[in-house]
Amino acid sequence: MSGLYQRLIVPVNGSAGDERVLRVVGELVHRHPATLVLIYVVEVLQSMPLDAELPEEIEKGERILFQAESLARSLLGGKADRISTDLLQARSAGAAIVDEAIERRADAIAMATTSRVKYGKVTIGDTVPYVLKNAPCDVIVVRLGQE
Amino acid sequence: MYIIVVGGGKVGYYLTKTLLSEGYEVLLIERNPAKVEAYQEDFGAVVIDGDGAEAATLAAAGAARADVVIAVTGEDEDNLIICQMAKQKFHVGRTIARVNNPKNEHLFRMLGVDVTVSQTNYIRHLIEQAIPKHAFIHLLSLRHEDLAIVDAKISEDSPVAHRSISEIALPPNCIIAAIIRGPHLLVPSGTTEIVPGDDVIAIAHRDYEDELRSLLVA
Amino acid sequence: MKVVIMGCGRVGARIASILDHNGHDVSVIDKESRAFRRLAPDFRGQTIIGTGIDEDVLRSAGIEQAQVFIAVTNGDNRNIMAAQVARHVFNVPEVICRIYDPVREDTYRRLGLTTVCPTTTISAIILDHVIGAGENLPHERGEE
Repeated sequence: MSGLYQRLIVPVNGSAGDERVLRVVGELVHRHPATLVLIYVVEVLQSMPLDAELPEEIEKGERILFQAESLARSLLGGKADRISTDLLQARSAGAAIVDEAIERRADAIAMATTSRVKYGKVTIGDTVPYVLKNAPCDVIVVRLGQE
Repeated sequence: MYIIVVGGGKVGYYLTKTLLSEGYEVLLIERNPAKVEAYQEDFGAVVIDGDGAEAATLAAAGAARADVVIAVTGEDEDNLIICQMAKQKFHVGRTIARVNNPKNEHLFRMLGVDVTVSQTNYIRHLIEQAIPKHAFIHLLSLRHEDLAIVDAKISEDSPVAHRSISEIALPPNCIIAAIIRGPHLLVPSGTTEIVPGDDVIAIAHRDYEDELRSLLVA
Repeated sequence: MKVVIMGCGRVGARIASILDHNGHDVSVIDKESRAFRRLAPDFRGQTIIGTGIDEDVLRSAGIEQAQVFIAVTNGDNRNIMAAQVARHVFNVPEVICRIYDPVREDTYRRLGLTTVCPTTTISAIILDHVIGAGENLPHERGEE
């Protein structure tokens, strides 16, 4: 028997949303084991070449992925039969997440977002709308309410 | 090689598309957010929204690491200032401007733009080649337009008709590269005689183009 | 003194009218004929419809005899280009150019144009009233 999703991609960014989305994923894969790929995208500014060496950003990403992985293991325990992490370097996180989903033939992307005010308007940024529009698979968005 | 294109009209759009397919790293800057959104659907993250004459936009675009900045908006004043800002503030090695009013080509080069492209002049040249009303045709400009390849149609009245190459005193910085006689391409030597009906293909420095013209076609 | 002014907005029209009133020979260029309504009713100078980035238009405004050229349209780039044409093509002795963008203003001032930046001057006057002179200003966006 298989569950709803077997192969999930979970983008993380070190915010409170990471834990929330992992809990939601825990519920989703409640009965049936699934493969989980945690990804962190280092966004490279246009002022630098795409393959620029960004040791601080990489280190930060690795730290966030390490924390997310430990969290995933403690929250999901045996429910996830394989948890891996991937650090990507790209111009835009949205496109990197979608590419990763295609490459890994994911059946779902689960991600968290918060809304914030920018230029006087409420926004959820560029990444979530891009993923919603372009992902080849299901997308589960957890929009965080008040803490 | 990193190329920044400013101006997302038809020229900028197809230029970006072509350069991307050639494998260059390209960024297109366009002022109209609706166009930017549409182009992002096509090209992805290589299109940004902003005024290319503004230093903040050029800085965000990474102009400091750009090898070439190409300004192809519909306004000459914008194209000029974009190229000058790219050169002055970001030390971009090569700037290319589209010139809408052909009268501005000379001015742009005088004011520091490396290469100018005028569609009007280009089409005029094509028409001159297709309809040989003129005896002396400018075929192509080379290297910052300092050098030109020209085609002189030799008539019976030409001062060089029935003379051999060695008898002709060419202006400085000019060479006769080839002679087209009917269907044949001749590589000229000193003894080659120029006859009426020949097309003389020469390479000339811009400063001597007029002198060469009066020598070959009178 | 022969003065050519490009842009007949509030500023251009005012400068033109005052110079004309003081007996100078003034030509004003604007894209819109309606703009010339801003000139003083007794303005005796020349009005030319066209764009000042066109050498022919500048010639018909008498730029070749001008001692002063003033570029005050609402387009920074148009002002900068026209000012460079006046200076480098027509060798006008005094060329003054309005540039709203402080970074562009700084760049072209360094290149030798006489520039006026309303953004920095007006902000400075207002800030002077609010917090007094000598405050530190943040860097402009785009400045290194």
